[in-house]
Amino acid sequence: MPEQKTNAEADFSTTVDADGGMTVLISGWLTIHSAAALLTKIPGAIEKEGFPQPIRLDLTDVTRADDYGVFVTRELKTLAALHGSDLQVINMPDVVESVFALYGHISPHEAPYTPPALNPAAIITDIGGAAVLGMRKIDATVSFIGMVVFAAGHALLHPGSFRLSDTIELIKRGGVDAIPVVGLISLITGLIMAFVASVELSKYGGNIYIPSLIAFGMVLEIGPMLTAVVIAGRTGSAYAAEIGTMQISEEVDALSSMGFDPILFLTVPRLAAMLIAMPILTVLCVVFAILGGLIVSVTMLHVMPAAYIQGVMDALFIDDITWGLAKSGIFAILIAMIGCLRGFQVRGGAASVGNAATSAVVSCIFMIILADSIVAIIRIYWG
Amino acid sequence: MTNRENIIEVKNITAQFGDDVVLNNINFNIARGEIVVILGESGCGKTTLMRIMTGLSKPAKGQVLINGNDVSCCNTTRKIGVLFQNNALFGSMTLSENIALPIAEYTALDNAAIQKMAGIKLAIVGLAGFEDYLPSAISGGMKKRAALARAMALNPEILFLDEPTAGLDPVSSAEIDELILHINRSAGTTMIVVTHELESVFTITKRVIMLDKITRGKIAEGTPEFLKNECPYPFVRQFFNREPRVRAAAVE
Repeated sequence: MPEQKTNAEADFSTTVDADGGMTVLISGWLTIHSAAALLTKIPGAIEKEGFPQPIRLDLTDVTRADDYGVFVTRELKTLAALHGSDLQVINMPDVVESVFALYGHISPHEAPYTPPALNPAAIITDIGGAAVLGMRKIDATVSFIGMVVFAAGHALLHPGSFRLSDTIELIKRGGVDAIPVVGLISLITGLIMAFVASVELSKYGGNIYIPSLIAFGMVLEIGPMLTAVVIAGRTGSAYAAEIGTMQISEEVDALSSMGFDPILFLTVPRLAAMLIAMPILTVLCVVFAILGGLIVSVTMLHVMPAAYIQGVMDALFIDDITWGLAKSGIFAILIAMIGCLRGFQVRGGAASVGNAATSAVVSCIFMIILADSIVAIIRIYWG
Repeated sequence: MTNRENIIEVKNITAQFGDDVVLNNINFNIARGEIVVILGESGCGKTTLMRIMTGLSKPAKGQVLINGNDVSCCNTTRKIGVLFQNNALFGSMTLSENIALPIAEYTALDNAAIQKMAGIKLAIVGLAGFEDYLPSAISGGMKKRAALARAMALNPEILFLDEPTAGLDPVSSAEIDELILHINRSAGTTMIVVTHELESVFTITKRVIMLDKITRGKIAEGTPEFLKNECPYPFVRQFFNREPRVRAAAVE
């Protein structure tokens, strides 16, 4: 701001004195506005004279000062002392002297600097520390699972303690509101699958196998997985951020102090909501993907709609549908539990909430893929 | 320009949330170097008025001038410091980093100097040695002081303090009051304080502006002693004498 500049400017001039010393005459405002400029220019001017003895800092013409000004004189004093000369502040006007009287004795707290020691033993303690930390994390996760199982059991035995209205709201937010995005993504996936499959299959006149490919692949693998990944990003992170924010604003503690079990109050409804919403979303996902395949097959690949639907029907067995829905249930449990756990682990401030949301999504997706492969192996030996 | 008598002029301020009138035609001036307390019942619009005066909210009608510049259009943030009700310290930064942030943004000092100035600011509010603490690791009173140090990091001409002593023990409250007076006297900082603590009011100010929840306007203005003993409105005297409304109504 130009107006400020004219008011707040400071200037200085130097003169060499008869006794071999030098005088630095500062005029104007010795304040926050001029501190940086003075601190960059005056040391150079003093150095040019070769740090004579003594250096006098004449403040006769200073009209205003503040703690930044006091800091400037102190820095200059320290600098002069480093080069073996003594800096004296002279001719302080009353306005400046009162400021110096106030702030002159205040100095920043200086912690003794200790260089980080290069201790070979530190590597061992670091490894040990990381191991202990890892164990604690496992411990926390296992006890969280235990608490959720206990709270869910409690809710089953005492249905009155189950928060039904919260659960319905959560189903709306995590399930119903997710229908557009899940539907759109799966529709597009169906289009792509049909299109990519036809590239190879059409060579052998095999376009008629596209419906069975899409139906089988979506029901058993892609449907549950795709839905789970979308919901992990959408709802898992939301659970972590929501509970994390409650955690830092002491709302979770408030629940405990009123005698509510935070797990029963927050996690069980979310778990129930996910368990209800996920299989339904998965079914929708499969239906939309089959629809997407139908659009491409009928419009571009010359497959009759009736033949397409017959192909889908032939490919689906109740067994596969059961496996697919069971998987979506497992994913639902993973997403709800991981989202809530990351939320409860939040400590500190806003950044921690962000970390929890990120960590929830990453952990959810990792665990979904891991669980999917475990289920695939189990299915092979199931018979 | 900078030496006009009234550093802040509040002109015909009306604030509305939807159809709800929160403030109705508020007018007052604040002189340079003055400490003014804004008082009133909970929900009478004190914080809203403060938000409008700092340019964080826009009024429905009227304007606030700081040094003759309208806060809603001109960049006045450099001239004011705000202590928020909940401190608003950045939780992921240490106290030193919290204070260094505005200094680094608005001055040309080098890093070492910024660190030292942040240290000096913390020392002024009595927090020397707590540079590397996170806000979550210190007590409520210390957080208030750290937030005050950040608000005055750039030696603003005006400090807005929203409930600076709310929720603090009497000793910490008294210390904050003393700090407010100290800053006002040493730097000539103009201060606008929103508070409920009557003891603080009598300690720090010569001028109180009282807002009314019913008429949504300024109900009284004057020294705390005047408002306590001589104000024509019974409600104002009740407020200062801490009398419950029911009893006072019976006395009337």
